[in-house]
Amino acid sequence: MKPSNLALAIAALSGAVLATPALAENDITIYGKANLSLNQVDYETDPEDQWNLTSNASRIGVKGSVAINDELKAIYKMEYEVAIDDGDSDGDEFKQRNIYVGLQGTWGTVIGGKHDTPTKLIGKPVDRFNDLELGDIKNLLEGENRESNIVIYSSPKFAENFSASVAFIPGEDSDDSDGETNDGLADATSIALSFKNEQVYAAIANDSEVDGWDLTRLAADFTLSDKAKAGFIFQDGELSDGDVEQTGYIFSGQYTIDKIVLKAQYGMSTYDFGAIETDLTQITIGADYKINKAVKAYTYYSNIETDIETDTTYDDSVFSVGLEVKF
Amino acid sequence: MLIRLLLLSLISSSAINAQADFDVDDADSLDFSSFHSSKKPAAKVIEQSQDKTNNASPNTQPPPTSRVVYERYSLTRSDHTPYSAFYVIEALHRQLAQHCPQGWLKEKEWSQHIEASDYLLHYQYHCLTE
Repeated sequence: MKPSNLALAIAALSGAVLATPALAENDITIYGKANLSLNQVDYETDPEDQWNLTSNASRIGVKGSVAINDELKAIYKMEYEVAIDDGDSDGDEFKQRNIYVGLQGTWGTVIGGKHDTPTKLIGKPVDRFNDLELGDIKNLLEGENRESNIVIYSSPKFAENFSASVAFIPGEDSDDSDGETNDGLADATSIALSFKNEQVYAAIANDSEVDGWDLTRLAADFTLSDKAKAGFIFQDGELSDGDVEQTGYIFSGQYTIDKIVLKAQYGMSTYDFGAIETDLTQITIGADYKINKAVKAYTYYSNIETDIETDTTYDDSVFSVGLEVKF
Repeated sequence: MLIRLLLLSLISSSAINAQADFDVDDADSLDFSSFHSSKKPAAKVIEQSQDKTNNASPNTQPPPTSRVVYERYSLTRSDHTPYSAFYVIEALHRQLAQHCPQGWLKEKEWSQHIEASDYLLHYQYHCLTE
């Protein structure tokens, strides 16, 4: 489907709900958010010093389910990134985000399509500047992957507070890091186990051959009070062919004062290329102001220092003010 | 045809949005069960309209509009109100009679603690003639 036809498709789909009340038990929901910021960017790694508008992964999605019987339903989700600032999402009007179709029952959920890996998703509660330029942990850590052709099974809660997810990715004849052809069912895998109660969220995940990396990630987030939260991520990984290793960690926290949420995040990552090492240090501070339940204004400053062992240092920084509207 | 489709999209999306309590917050998660559970809008306490026209068939009557009235009272004397629970029941009934001259159906009542010994007594109701 051409991206430019997306609006038409959504319109037709939504219209169908109105036109056929008999399908009322099959729910469909349009959701998304618009997040636009004005950024003052100063990069040394990619010499750039300018003001810009950024869409920060603004998106529109359609989700729904169709009942098959009392215990089983088919589910789907189609979510697209929208470039509010210039209409250009990597050359298209809409860029595919998480999209899947699957089945859901009391035994859990199985989906197939294009989706974030379990390893990426366990870190999201700790990433307090998710989707923001330089502030997102993807600028520091490997493992932030959205994979095509992925199949995920996610369990229901067990032992009261636990859940697990297992994903596999057929290579579909792609070349792996050793130059061999990936043609198996599970050329790459990503698995996660998580625990959650009112005070503690904790999860561990492992990737094998996902985007060429093998890594293990540990994430935890703690609700310290009704105003304060703090969390961390630690991970260790290497390229599947063993040439490069990476170790990294993130600490983050937030404190709420009435309608203002103060946030801070610090992270460090070391790439070991064998002959040399490169350290990345990320510092981000910011504040959200909740205008109402759906709208917030925010500001943040983020800096990433790249320190290469050859005594070369780069500083990249962003200062930003933005507005986010959820719907 | 294009304009009709776009209009349908706008109409239906605004109706659907009322049920979507920010699914975007659940979208990037491994909890598919939560994401695909139906989300109801947060309950509005005052003047809540139970607009279910999106689900109603064309031949059924629209549901009555629910409203809420409330009065503050104290279990003991306070700086904010000298009114007792008995007193504000009468005050609430005066409000109901003013809103619904033909009578009303009280759907539920509840009290919300404010501070010290002060509470808000709420009546949720709809008028019989709606």
